[in-house]
Amino acid sequence: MLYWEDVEVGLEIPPLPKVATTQKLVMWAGASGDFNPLHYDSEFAASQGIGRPVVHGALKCSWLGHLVSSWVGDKGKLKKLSCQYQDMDYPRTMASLTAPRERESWWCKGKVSKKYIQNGEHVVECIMWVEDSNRRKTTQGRATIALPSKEAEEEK
Amino acid sequence: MEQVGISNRLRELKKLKGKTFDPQIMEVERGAVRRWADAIDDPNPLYQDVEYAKSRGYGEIIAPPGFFGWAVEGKGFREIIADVAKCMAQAGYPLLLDAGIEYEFYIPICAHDMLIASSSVGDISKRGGMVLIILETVFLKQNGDKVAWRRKMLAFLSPKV
Repeated sequence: MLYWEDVEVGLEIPPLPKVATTQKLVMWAGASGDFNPLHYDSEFAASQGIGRPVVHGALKCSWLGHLVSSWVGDKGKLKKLSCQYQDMDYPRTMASLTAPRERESWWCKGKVSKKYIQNGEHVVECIMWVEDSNRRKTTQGRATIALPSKEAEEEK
Repeated sequence: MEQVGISNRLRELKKLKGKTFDPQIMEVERGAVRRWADAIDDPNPLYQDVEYAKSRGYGEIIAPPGFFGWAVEGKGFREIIADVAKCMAQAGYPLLLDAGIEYEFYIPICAHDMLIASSSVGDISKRGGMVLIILETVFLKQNGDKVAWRRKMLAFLSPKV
């Protein structure tokens, strides 16, 4: 379990690897309800001047939600999450029914930017990003989390 | 010529600011929660395993951040976006992309919750080569408890950008 006392400003969140495939994008479209054909229809994407289907911004935001929620664990409370989608990412195409071709990979990364106590809550703020194999940051995000406190637990 | 087009379109679009959509009932089904978690490769048992979720103090599996159930965007919303997209395409901005999102989460969302989503159009502006439209949504439980707030930014771009 991650306690507020264990966290310092500058601490890095353990990076989380991700792979976007055309198959995952279809799964995401179904799960999220974002059926913009830009994300699964090559001909449509080409007609819009972006060449081929692109990864949904909201999928990358959910990756960052995964990064931070898996780091803080069950007792941490995600209070705020925000993302700006700054550049496009292109999914891997599929080599078989289940395996993607060997192409781009992504990492979700982040670090602690602030730490304070507010209204009795032990709060940590983080900056996060999604980067590709060229270390190009295509999505930037922020999160605000309330963590359990050892001191507060001892006082109870 | 295009500038005149976009100025006129923007004036029209800005009339949408403040427009509210009919509240939507969003059903949080177990299967939908699991499909969302699968799509992002998040194996957290809180999203999959009812007994585990109960052992952690929840009555049911909970929803990952950003999931609010189905229907995702309700009646009226898609139609408005389709109208706006048509209008923007005519002004030379046919490419619709998500530009960003902000969430505030107040209480956990559990499977079987029925949420009420109320959306409205926020600011509409032109920034560089794109037109940005803000959509805000407040999510309530049926008893009126506020669950979350979401601010979504949509961008219409010219293919040349």
